Amino acid sequence: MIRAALSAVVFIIVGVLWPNVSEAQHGTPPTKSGTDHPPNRSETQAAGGQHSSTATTGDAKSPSEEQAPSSPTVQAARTDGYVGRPEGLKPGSGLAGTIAVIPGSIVHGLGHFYLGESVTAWTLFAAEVLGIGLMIGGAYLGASSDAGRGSIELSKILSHSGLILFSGSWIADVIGSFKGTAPLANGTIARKRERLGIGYRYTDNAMMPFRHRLNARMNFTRGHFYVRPRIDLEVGLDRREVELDTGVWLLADTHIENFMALGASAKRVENRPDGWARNTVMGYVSWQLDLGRAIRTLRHFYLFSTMGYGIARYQFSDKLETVPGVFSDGNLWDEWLNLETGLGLFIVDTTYLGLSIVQTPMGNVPPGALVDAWLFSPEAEAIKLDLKYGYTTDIGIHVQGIAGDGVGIWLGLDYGL
Amino acid sequence: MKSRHAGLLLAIFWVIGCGQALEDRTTVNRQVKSLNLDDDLSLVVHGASILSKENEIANVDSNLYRASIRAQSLDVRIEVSTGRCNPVAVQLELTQIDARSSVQTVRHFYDAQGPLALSLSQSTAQNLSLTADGNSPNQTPIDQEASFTAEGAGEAGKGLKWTICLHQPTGSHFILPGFEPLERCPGTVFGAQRGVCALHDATRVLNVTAAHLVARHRVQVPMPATFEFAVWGNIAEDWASLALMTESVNRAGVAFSIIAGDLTTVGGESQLIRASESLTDQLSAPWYATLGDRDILGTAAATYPYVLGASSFAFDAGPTRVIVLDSADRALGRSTLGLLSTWLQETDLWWTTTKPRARFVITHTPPFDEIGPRDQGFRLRAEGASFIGQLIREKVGHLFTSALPHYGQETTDGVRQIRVGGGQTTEMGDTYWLRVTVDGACGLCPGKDCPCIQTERIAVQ
Repeated sequence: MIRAALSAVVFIIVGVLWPNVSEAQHGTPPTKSGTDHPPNRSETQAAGGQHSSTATTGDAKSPSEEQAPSSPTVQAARTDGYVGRPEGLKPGSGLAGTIAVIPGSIVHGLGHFYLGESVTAWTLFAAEVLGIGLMIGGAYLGASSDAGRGSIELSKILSHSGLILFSGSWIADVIGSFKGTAPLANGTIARKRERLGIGYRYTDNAMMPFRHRLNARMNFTRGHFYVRPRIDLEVGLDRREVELDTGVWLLADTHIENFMALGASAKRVENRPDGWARNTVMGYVSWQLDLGRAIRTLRHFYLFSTMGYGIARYQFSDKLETVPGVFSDGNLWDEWLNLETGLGLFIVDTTYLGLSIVQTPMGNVPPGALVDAWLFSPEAEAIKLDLKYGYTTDIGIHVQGIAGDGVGIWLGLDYGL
Repeated sequence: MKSRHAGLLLAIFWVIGCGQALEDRTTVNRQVKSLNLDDDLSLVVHGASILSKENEIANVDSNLYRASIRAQSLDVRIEVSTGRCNPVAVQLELTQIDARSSVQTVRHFYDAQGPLALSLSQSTAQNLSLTADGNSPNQTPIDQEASFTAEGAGEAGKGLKWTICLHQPTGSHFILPGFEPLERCPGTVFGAQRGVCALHDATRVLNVTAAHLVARHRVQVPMPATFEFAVWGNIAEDWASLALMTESVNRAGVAFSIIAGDLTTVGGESQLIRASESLTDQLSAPWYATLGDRDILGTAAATYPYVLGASSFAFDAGPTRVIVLDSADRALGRSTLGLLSTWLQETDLWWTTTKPRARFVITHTPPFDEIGPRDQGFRLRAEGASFIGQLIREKVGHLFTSALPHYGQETTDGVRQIRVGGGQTTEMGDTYWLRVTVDGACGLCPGKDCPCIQTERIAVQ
């Protein structure tokens, strides 16, 4: 079922992309955008314009074939400034995309093979095989009864990476096959670095009774440093959460979409009905990379990841409906790994969509079995979908959905200070 | 971005995120506690589960029924209730009960209260002096508690069989050992006139038509002051290790065994049945089991209640209470945590009794993994904290788990967590079970250091 649901998510992402491509296609006669925008931007629109004719026929033709005919309409368009698809840019195909879905869900890369992008296709296939291998390796390491702590942590990372490679190579094949080598939108959500955000969160699962929560957070940045305080309250104040997240940006290039950050967060969670509290500290490394640097059908398609290691200390009350004090005794210590990896893209210049797989036992939604492969099933994980919309430089809207063994929906509003 | 796309995405997330398994098994666990045998004829059990499915009830003749029941306690309560005007016979089989020492009694009631019921009981009981029954406060007794004989009683077998004959309009009842047809039920109502409702109209003027006749059976295994029980898990189709294990457990002479999950490797129904049959054949004492994460990987996740019974249950053993919780999803769920709260706080389960002086909680999955990043504890640590917090507050002395492969123990705020681990031979050769000794004579205490409760790891290889 999860597989089918993931297919549906891919179809919808493609469905989201397709109209934008089509809108660009039907935007002819083109404007003189080629001179008004940076080179890569005009390249996108020009490719989109050319994509129109190929998408309707469903065939992928080489650029040389497509540039050969010069009907009066095309000539008129060129007179008006239409520059045609640059040399080497390859259109996508509905048939290639369909092949990428079925039977491409079994053999990843088939869509790109059909497009003639054999290097990319082999890369995707290799990623699938590697992903399966990592999942099996992770399961093997984790199942070994004499596995040490290092093996166990490695097992988790392998399992998570394997699932990402396996599912990511398939999603990349589907999207790249539909879209061709034209880059995705290169938008940025231009926002102020100091922001105040408020939000509402709804969660529904069989393990936690807290459904409605309100939260507020702030974001401060000075040079390479950032500080993000956050508070999250169940509407009846039965569950209270306070967090301070801070870190430093490393390797951030001119585009904020490529970055690496090192950070640490401290959090306290109080559960009044069940009479306990938890203090945690987690260090993490977070990064994001444009996959177009390696796969040309995926320009401006981002891979992002966060890997963290945390320590928790639990405090228990003698009575229900009371929470131990911050400095009261707590004899139960725990550790955990926090893994999140996903893919993101700008649907349009102002709207970012991210889809990630999250593995953490500390979230609001319990992780579930995303892939059912009996004993070789990867670790329990949750799917997270992020949609960020920059309404203006001051106002942003954030919608987040998490699905695991239950669901969570978060609606947030950011305001630039 | 079109709003319809966002709506679709959210809808898909809703579909993906369905935490049904936990709640499904909670529902199934409730369903195996009662069964409608036919119109106005039902069976309710406590401390046991009904293994017969509704569509498998043998109705070999009109008004003759059969049901198989698996004991999950040492003091079972079985109620057969009929509101039918014609006589019926129900053949009952109770397995996983120590038939050698069990004591069987039965008492009959009309399921009614108030003045009408009082006159009814006076007219029916005639000169008997009947007192209200604290175990059935909402029902009117029509006789005294009496012992009965079942086939298999006093024998070394593991089951009891008997047939209960009931006639609601007259309150007539009779028990026959073994499985017998309705014709063998004695008396006029069970003889020539059986099945003829109209002849009993005179009796029915007492207006008992609305009150069902209830036969309440009690099958109890008396516990000595000092007794032992065994806990282990991870059988996982290692039949050779199982044979060694059961031999060792039999030698120790335990009163019962608890299998804390992972009877199978990938949750096949046939594997579960084979494990169940092997345990029944090889163990000389009753055994009860819950599910492990492996057991829910396959078809056994749906069929387990008809092999093992409910996957969460509790029962009293001497002065102690044993609570077994289904954590196969690496979670309990709010409903199971609610059950735990009830079983920890309430004195009575289904018979009035004295407050247990010590409690044991048994799950397959530990709430927290000793090596946190391995993440073999509960999927949501917050739930693990709620669970442990409840055990600490209620002063539960012992928590036994079996998911982690190696024996070990640690104590959190008075709760001793023991990883009983391994019935399966591992690379390190660990095959062992946990012997729990309860010395009721020394005055039990709740905490981990209670000298009246001893635990010992017994290696068999």
